[in-house]
Amino acid sequence: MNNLEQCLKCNLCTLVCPMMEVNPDYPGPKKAGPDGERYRLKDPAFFDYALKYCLNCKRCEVACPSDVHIGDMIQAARIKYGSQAKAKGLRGLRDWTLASTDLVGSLASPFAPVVNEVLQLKPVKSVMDGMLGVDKHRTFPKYSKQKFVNWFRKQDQSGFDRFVSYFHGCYVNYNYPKLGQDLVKILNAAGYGVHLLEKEKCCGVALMSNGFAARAKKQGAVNLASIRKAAEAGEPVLTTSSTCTFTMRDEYPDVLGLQNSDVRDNIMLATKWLYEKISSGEIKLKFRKDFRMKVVYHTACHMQKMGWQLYSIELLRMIPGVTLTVLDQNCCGISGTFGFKKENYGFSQKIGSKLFEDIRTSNPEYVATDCETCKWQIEMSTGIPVLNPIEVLAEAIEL
Amino acid sequence: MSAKEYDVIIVGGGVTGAATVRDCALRGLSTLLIERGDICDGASGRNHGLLHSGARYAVTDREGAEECIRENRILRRIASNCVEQTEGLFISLPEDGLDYQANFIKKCREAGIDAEAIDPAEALRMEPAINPRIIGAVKVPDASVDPFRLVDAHILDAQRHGADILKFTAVTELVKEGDRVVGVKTSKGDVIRAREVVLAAGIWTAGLAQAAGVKIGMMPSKGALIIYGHRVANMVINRCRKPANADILVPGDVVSVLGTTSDKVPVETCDDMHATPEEVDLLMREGEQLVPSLAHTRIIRAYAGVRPLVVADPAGDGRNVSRGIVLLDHETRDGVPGLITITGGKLTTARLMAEMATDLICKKLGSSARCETAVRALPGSEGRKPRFKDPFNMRAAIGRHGTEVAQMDFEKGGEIICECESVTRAEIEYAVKQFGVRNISDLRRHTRIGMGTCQGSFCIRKVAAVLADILSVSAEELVREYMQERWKGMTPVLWGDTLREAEYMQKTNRDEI
Amino acid sequence: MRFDVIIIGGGWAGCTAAEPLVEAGKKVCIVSEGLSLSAVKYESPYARLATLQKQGAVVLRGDRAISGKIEDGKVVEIRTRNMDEPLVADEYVLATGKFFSRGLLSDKEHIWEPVFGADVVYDPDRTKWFDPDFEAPQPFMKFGVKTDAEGRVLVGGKAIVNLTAVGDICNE
Repeated sequence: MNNLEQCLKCNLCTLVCPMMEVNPDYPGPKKAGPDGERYRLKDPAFFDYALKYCLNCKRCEVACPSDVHIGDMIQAARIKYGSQAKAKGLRGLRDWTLASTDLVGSLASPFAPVVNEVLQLKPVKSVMDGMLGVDKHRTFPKYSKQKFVNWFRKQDQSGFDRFVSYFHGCYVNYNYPKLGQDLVKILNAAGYGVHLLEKEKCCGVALMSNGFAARAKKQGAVNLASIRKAAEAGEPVLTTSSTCTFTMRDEYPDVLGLQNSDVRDNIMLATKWLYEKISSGEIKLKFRKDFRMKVVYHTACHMQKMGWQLYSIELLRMIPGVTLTVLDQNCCGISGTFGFKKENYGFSQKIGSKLFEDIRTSNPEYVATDCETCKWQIEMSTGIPVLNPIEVLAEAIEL
Repeated sequence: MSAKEYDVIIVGGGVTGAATVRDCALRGLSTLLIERGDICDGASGRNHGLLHSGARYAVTDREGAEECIRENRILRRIASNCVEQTEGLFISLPEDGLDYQANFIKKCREAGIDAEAIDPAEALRMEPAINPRIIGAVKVPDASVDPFRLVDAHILDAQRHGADILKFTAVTELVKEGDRVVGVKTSKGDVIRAREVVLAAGIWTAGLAQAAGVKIGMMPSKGALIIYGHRVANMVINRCRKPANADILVPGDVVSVLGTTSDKVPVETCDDMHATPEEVDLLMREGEQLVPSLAHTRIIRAYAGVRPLVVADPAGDGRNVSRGIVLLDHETRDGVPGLITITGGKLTTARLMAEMATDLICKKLGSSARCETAVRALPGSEGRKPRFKDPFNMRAAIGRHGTEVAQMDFEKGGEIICECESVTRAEIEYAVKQFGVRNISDLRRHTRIGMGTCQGSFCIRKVAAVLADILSVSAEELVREYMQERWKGMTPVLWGDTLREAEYMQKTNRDEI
Repeated sequence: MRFDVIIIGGGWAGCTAAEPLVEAGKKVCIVSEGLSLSAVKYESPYARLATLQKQGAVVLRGDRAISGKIEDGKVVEIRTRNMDEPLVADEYVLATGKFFSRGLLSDKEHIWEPVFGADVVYDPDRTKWFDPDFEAPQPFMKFGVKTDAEGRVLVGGKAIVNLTAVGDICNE
């Protein structure tokens, strides 16, 4: 929906844009979104390359009193007019590599120990920093020796009469199968069997933000087809990443033009599904009596946009032994692959500083959040380990 | 009494007067243009901004159509920066039938207008915004022209060729010696003499002439228009039927303009024209037939202008009256030498009107200078348009002023003051210097400041501060004048998002947040 | 989800209504679609809401109340855009402001309150909504929902016992 002129120019969005605060070259959501759009409709030459700085955090949309889809408008403009803005040469290769989470993950997994070692090596890091423009401060998330899907195949799910589907995402599959394993354990303990989607592709968020919209759209279509099949079988599709969820529910239709209204409600975070089932009494979990954990919850920007942090927060509050503090919502600054790029590292850390300070002040054992890239950023920047609420729950129940 | 005697005094700073002063200056005549307000303050700034191909008149007025297509081609060359080569479509809806279309194409071709029938599916591909119910479409060389820029460019060129421009000064009477008009008396009490006085004051011409004992039967015909907040279509969209109300939608810069109505109004009302609720309702109803998405597109304001039609038959609505060019030589017509009237016509044909008037002036003054206005490019359109380059802030200014941006200092004045329309301090300084603005309404005509969707509610204080600083006047007074002017255009459409904007405007203006 | 009080609107009026309730230990939910203009007055735009949240209020930022269900003269639940299940409370406060914040919506002929369909005071003739003098008091700035002497909102002429209106949305 092109609702650019519901914008009343109140500028409230500019008060919450994390990029504007640290980068004078970024024109801000109002100018980059609805103001710029009026001119782009006249002539695509009005496309401003500074739009590349948009983090797509959607904090502008949350703040907008007029429900203008500011972030979507900026994403759509980058896709429609910004194709020449795609980096060329080695930086282009870098963007391609960062965006191709699926493919690169598949290639890396068999060689995980070697790849992980190599990516840690100082000389390799300095080559990546100098030639490819991947900032040397960044540590790539480690690749797992065993992909989640390979682990899952060995899990017997035949003994259940109720099922849910699970969209695991690239991060769980290639880097962090533990999160997926925890969810399967919880669901099995709750009496639900788990199916994977017939075909799962990367949700496409990294492709979109790196200028590969056509590929993102293709992958999105594959995912939606599989999600439809799950829906026909009466299974909700659960996820453990707020960004994958947001992308498939909202960015597919609003930015990529993929129609998903028939299955949108069927895609949801596992925390939301579990909260609803537990609070309605449909699921009863046995909690450990000796469990104690001091946790702060960080609301990822896309989580805030969906408005679903309440489910994760309430789910954590249901766990006996959890001491929970909810942090004020601030952007961590990584924005997926954005913060990995050398040219953005400074912005990324400056944006996150408020959040890091809040976390350090609270001094928790763990930070809980629903977004994996927030996790990398917070762990790197504060040294405090980060868990998905699902992992906290898995640890707290008796299996 | 001013010592200087001009060859020519032109009364009226609309497009006709501006084109005439330019022509006179290019032909080496010493010329003065007097305008009671700002340049382009009357009907010239209150229209569609449509560069007619002539197609609209092809069926009813062959001569007018031929004039239009000729001038259309000339303006594309000499005013390339003011014209956007959008092309136009005449669409037929089922209720219109296709009978009109066949005759329409034939008549267009007879007038020399390239009219090409295209398949409805093809038309929808070219312009996806049009009503999908269409049963036929004709492509014609209509275009969009920015009237403010066009008039400004003429004024600049005239000044650069020695003409004087006297703004904010009304002509109170024509000074006569015997039967001959020898000059004008101004609201400042001066008498300025000239060998020929040209009335080019649109609908206000008749009153001036009458005071000098010359009767011109004029019929003010009001046309109301509404502005939508963005471009919903990139082509000019017309209905392919007998010309009627609200059947043209024109993309103008970053907005869309829908119009118009046609109603006879008393001369006394011409100084305070505004669109009525009935006109707005009618425009909206018809506009949705052209482009359905207009039904839910925000209207940012509604306004009205007055066509200076000359009466052949005082009955009927304005549309049956000739819109042709009217050049009156009052020496032969009324026995009043020294006085010429040029009126009627259209925005598109203003250059031709000026040529006709100046030919007559030259004949009277014994000058053999030839008209060059059809071949000399206007300021801003001279040579290639500067390429877009960073800073990004310059781009909107390049669109507005073309080659004139060379005179703006973006190094020092790159700060954006009006955000909707991306107007920088450099552009404001340029406008003040070139066009002698008094207030924000004047500034708006030369820069688009405050013309965007916020209508000034967010940036106006910033604008006022900058302008007050340059002009050494009170910023509050500037704000007051401007808000009142904007309010006039907003109130006829004060519901939905415009009402929301109005609350914001009222609150910020009263510091009630 | 269940609360003691649900406040619709997280601007100046909504926060002012929420603060004493939260302090008194009530379980309060604030549905706050977008920032309100008053946000510019605080050191950070969400300062007031963040404090309320820290004190235990549930703040649904960027969420919008879509509809309210009224049974036997009482609000029994509201629905929001982001939450799938209804939100339920004993008391409801309508603090959604006027037109800017979309507490009141309008078209050419009508002005209405979108959540509960509350009675709105306005002139049916749209030419009476404004004064042509920009600086004169504007009639539309006085339009708002009808309330009884206790501030309870009227719907179809009847006061809703557990729904009060505060701030700009009220008819003056």
